[in-house]
Amino acid sequence: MAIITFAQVKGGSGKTTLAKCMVAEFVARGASVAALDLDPNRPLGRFFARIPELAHVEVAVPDQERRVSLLVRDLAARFDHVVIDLMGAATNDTQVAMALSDLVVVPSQMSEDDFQGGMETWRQVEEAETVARRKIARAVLMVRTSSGAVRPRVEAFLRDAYAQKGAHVCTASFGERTVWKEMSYAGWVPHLHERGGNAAENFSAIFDEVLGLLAARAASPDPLAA
Amino acid sequence: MTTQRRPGLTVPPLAIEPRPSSRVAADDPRFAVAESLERPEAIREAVASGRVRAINAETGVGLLVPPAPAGEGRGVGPASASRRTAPEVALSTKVPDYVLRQLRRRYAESGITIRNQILFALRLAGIEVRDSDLLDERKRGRSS
Repeated sequence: MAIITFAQVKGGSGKTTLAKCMVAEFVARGASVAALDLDPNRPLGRFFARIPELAHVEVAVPDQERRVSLLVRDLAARFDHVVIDLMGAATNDTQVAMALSDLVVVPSQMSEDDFQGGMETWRQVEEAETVARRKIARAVLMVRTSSGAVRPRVEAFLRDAYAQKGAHVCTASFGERTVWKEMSYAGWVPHLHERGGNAAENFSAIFDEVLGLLAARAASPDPLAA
Repeated sequence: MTTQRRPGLTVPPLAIEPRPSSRVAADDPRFAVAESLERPEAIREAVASGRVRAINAETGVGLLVPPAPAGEGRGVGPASASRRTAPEVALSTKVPDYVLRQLRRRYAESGITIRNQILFALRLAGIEVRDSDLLDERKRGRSS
């Protein structure tokens, strides 16, 4: 069971691509999963509709009557996993989604704006944890990193910068690959259609690591619980 | 003398077994917390503190635009008359260009007009702005 949110108050950081990949990985592993799309552009439903293996995935969208908490309560009762994709801004939905989550993943590219937004998002998860009186697993995920063997200096620098501010950074990172951009156009998702390929292996490693955070949280006592 | 055979190796039970799949119960306390964060007063407080800097028009529109009474709005009969409580007057001022850029960006993200963003900020600053005067009259006009 997991409610997983991709959050970053800066736009264009990779939240939606990661949410698409996360849902596809759950489907590839035969898990029960649904999604909540809080991006007004509605990218998730459009994407899933193009991929036959994902066409059945239920994507909830809010309106004035169906609030986020109501939608997630409904999805969580019917599916083992719920993936939430937020808008790239500090909106009224951000804290609501975080307070509902078991795990928050904060994607960050290498720019200073991403770092600033990543840390602001990290602080918001900490606040949500305090308000919810419940531990929320969380991690920063480096995005659009070099797929080659050599890590650019700025990536190591940023990993260190996040760590110094108290933010946990995943060991795995989401490599820059053309295939992620082509998924919609080609109707081809590496971890659905070419398991074992480099791109699929890349996301699989991310998936295992972030879900490992959930398992670690479940195994440790929750000091915040009332 | 017989040789004692060593027993076969077995994996001991793990101290931490993976939890069986379970779903979040409908009465899980997290939902009550989330609902409290969706209340208008909670969002206004989050706006005032800077935690919220953009309103999702689909989930937060009720904050700025009070729901029209039954039978009114959306171009139904007399709703085409303005619900404003006072005549509108023009106000022109100069602001730094980056401020205007941010207001336009928020309008693009949230659908909340620049006029309403300013009026809402003024209300947070203690200036009286009535709910009915925050109605987006353009929507009323378009749908009629």
